[in-house]
Amino acid sequence: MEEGIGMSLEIKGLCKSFGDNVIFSDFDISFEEGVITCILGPSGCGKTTLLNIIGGLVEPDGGTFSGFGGKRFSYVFQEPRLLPWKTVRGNIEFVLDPSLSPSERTSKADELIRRVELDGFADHYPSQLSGGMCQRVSIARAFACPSDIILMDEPLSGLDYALKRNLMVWFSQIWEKDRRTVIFVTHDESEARLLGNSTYVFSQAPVKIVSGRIP
Amino acid sequence: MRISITRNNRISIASVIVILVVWKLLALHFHSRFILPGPEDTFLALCKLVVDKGFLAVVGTTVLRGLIGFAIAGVLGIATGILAGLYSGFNAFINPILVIIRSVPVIAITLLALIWFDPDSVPVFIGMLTMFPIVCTNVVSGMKSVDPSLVQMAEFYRVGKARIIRELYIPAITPFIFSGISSALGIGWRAIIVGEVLSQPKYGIGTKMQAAQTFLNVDMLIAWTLVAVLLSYMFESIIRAVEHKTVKWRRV
Repeated sequence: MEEGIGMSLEIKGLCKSFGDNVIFSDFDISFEEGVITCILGPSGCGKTTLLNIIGGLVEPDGGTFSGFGGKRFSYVFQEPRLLPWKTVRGNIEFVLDPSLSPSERTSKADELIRRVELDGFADHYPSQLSGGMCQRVSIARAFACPSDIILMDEPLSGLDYALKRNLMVWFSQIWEKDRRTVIFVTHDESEARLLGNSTYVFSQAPVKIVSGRIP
Repeated sequence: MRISITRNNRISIASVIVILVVWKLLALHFHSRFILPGPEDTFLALCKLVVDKGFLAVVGTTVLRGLIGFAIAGVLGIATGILAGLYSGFNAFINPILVIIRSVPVIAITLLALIWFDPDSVPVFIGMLTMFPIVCTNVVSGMKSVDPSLVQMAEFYRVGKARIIRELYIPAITPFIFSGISSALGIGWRAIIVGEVLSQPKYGIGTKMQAAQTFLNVDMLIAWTLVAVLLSYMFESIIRAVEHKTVKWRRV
């Protein structure tokens, strides 16, 4: 693994097993801030586990983390995880800082709805939207949250190729506006090639980095 | 759709007609208004009872008792159910209590309540105690059905616990709350009227039923029963209407 300049998020000696199944054993990886890092690898190799460890959803068995302290995360899950009883606007407002006034929350949500090109759908419920539109709301929600790092777990899997391509182009455009650190997990090489400023390719568990930092 | 509703309506009307015919035949068979008066006698008794100036006070008092018992049972049942859904320890604590409340015969509770409370409060207490476990059990099942991935999402985005309860759990369990309320009210009315029959408060449908039975006014007894049935049906319809308005996201 090549060590680049500006690497500020580092994990060293990561260990994680589920029973006898060793996922990470003394594993090192680092991420550059302000770029999209893609993690490419076969299904079930431990990519999601790494995201969950970084996001605090899964406890690691061991390892040191530097640069992650005090950081806030957003998570774009594989499935959109929208609240079905809330409208598009309501779903985005749900993660906004509760100290904002109702009008500030609405205007912030509406601005993001415009950014994800869902104008006119603010008052729609998730059941009235297509899968791709729901995932766009989920991405808008991730950008709405005042986070430092956005974790994305195969958010485009399950969508057809044309839609996937459109969403990727569109995602790069919104990302350009605030250039947050993004860790994007996928098993689709074309997604990694299109989106990633840098890419790590993972092996099967126990995970090794097969190749790293492909421009 | 319209055709099937009309057809079903016709079947429902036919069912009511069958009941009336059977009732009339039985009345003719017994041939005594002290055993079973016919539907027309009962209808006359019902008209007499409705125009009586004390009618609203009697019905109003029973409704008020129902609403108080129901409000207490509803608030307690929903709060307890949510807590039991959130904390498995609390669930383990509350479960035996619910089982006991559910299995103790209503009459046993009524007899005890007659010793403990004044006649006006007995029906409220019995109604409350009958409705509480039904609401609570429904809310607990609702809590178990909440999608854990949504809760994980909310916790990940650091949404506060109070907002998670208010904006995630409560909307998710709303259909369960309504089904709990609906079954609780159905059983609750009956329990409240049993309570009134036994505790004999000044006003109450149960008090009137007991008086009618004492004087063998069977037509009045059945007329009051019809009033109780209509009240129960009315509240059931109100609950359905409120539910329809509340969970509009399910219909879009």
